[in-house]
Amino acid sequence: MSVKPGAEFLTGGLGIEMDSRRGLGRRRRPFEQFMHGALWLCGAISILTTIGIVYMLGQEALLFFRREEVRLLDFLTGWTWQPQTLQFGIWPLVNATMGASLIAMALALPLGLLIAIYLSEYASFKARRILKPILEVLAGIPTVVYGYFALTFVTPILRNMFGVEVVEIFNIASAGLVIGVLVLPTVTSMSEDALRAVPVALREAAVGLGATKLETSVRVVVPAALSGISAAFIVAMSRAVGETMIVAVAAGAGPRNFADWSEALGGLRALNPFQSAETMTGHIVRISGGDISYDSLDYDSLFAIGLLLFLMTLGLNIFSRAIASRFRERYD
Amino acid sequence: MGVFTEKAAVGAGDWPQGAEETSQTRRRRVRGRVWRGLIRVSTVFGLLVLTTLLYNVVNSTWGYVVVRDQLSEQLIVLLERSHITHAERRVDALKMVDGNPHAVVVMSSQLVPAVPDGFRGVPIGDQHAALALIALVPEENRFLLGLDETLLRQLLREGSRWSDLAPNWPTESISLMFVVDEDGVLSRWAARQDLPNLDNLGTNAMLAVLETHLSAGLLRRYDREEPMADRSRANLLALVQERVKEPEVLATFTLRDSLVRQGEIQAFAESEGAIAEFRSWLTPGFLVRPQSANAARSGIRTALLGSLWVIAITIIFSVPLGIGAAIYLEEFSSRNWFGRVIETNINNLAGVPSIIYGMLGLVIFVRALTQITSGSLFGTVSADEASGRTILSAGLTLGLLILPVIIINGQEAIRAVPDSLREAAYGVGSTRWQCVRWHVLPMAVPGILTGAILAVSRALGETAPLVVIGAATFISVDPTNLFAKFTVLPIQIYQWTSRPQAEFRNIAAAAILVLLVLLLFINATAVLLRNRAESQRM
Repeated sequence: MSVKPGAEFLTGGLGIEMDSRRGLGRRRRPFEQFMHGALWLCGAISILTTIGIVYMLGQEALLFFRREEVRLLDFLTGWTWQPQTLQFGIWPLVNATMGASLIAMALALPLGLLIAIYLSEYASFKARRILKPILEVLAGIPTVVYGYFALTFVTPILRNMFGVEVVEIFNIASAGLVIGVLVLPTVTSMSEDALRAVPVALREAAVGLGATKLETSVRVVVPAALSGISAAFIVAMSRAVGETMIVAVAAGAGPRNFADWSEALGGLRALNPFQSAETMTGHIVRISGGDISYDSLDYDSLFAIGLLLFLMTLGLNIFSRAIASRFRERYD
Repeated sequence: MGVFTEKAAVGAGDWPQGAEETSQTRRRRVRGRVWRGLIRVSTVFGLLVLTTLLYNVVNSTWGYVVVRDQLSEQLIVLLERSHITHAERRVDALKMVDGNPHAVVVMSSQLVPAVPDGFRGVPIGDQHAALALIALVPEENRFLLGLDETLLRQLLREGSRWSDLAPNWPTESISLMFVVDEDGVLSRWAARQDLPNLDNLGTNAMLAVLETHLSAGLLRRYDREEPMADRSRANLLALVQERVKEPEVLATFTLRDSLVRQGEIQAFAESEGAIAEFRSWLTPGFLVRPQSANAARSGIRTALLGSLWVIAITIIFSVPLGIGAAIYLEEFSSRNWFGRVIETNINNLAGVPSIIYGMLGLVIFVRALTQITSGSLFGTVSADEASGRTILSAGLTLGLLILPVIIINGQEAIRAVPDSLREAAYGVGSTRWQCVRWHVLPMAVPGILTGAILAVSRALGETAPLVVIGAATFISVDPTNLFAKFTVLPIQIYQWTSRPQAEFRNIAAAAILVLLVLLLFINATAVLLRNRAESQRM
């Protein structure tokens, strides 16, 4: 590299060479470009993952629906899931999934909101400092441990309370309650974030008008944070739907089948939470955990369930984000 | 804000006055207090759940176990003293010694309702007890007229020839034989004979015991693992304990029951002819033993090693990728459509259930890339038996699973670096990469690492995706390379929890404790790292 005399004073004799013929900005930097490309690739991997998920679920599910034994209408409306007799009605699995999730939300929704209100409105700085990490620990416990907890602790309690004949060893209620505990930290921390984002001025105004602490929290702060809180519930619901190990351990191995809608809903038998039932995730784990041969009908059916599960959780997540951004109150 | 203006329009006369106001205020205060109590109670519930969960695990990890041995230690020693080597259990012993004037057979009187022809019966011990022992001496035997319990004990202890006991007796070797009964008559008698402990037997005696009681096939298998003659005494003792004594768990009790209902447990054990012992299911041996079909002998060695292997792959795969993506998104990507698409996409990926990742791993890593993930491409296995259900597939699957989490955490850490730093770097003429490498990254690294560690700890506890891609249900060989079959700690817990036998619940609890301690250790590292970074920045 040739350095023109006179350019030296710019570098102050530091030994930095300067190419005066070309501007610095336009200089070629192979390493810089390489790093840029490499980092771009890293970012693109996530896109590839998504494409992979959608493609593999779509592809394998398509294989399933293309088979002549399978009719899409039966899949969407049937109440019997029994691969041995070629009956693929999704409702027993969906019913169990929804049952467990609803029980979970019935526990996590009020409790999570109350804890969030406590942490954001009532708790002292010190109490918050102790409680937050504990909730984080709760969130970090592996789900299989929660499954163990459901089976060995919650189920015996339920059986003691309601009678051994009423409550089966494997049941939806126990799994649902423990899923509620599992998603509790999600509900709490997201709701708390939403509550804390409400400006102090609103609280001060309420208190100034003579509102009690409870009235301030429930009538002013919670409504102001409602979009964030709803988003939290929906995210929690989506996690509950996708939760696997708890139901695999505690909810039972075998779909609770019915002949048709009238049998399922007559006497609300399909809704009994104390009987065993297999959820979508539970079924996938049980079947794929055994020795399954690829390209069998069983194997393909898992992907149909997987696709439905993916669409459900994706829908919930997108819905949650839409609510959070559309109905967000802006305080500037 | 319309609500508030409306309220302001309400006239003063609409508000309650006087006594009504006081009572209303009181009611509002009470309501406030009641709800405050309720809110506190709900918060305590969170704490309660965590405590209960831990209590439940600890409760099952320690406690009484009622164990009955197939053969008591004394009986093993007694049988070892039998001078007929093949003293099989419940064999027609009389036939074996018929016509041998130098033999004596001892068994429960229940087994011989009447003294058979050609034998003389000598009661041993308490003659009035319903269950007693009887010694049968062949009629041809002329010298053993005065056989009684004392002489029998002497036979047990001394000599191998009759002449060793009395000079006028024949020089033939003693054939003393015991027949084991199910009622435990012989074992109770043996317990009173103050025989040496099992630990005091010599190597040869132990070999003899093993040869007597183990089937030929099993002996051959053990011999293949390590020749019997070369085994240490401790090893042989362990084998005797395991295979001959063969303790069988009748019932297990929780820690709480063990403390509260000790008397009942002891009574139960006695009624079953078994012993109750306090056992810790979590022992050093539990950590280093491989999996076994018997809960008491099972350990988590294979699962623990599997977890470490899989996590190593996950870290190598996902941490650099995740950090790279986070840097790209924060520092390089212009906020154009591509950046936004990736951004939304990552957020959606983070919400995909883990089991879906398992299915992705099954299709891509296990099936489509079998050649790579099974190692057949590198010649470690032949193409016919190539199976993609390996450590490599598992690690990559978990890597994909935690990638979005690492990216999101990384982005947050990078975003926390003040812009003034970047501006200063650009001001002195650094390029983008130089700015990132020398200014942004050093400041963001603690935050990035904390996020990455938390993500990895999530991968360590993940079960469902690995079940889907096909973890092995039973392996007892250590994983030695990337292409080995695998099992991991959470899967081991899942499998043990799913077993109906109570003792598997106990070892599941012990394994859970190990997993929780491991996670606690990792998370504590993350928290320490975060605190140190924060204190340095101050």
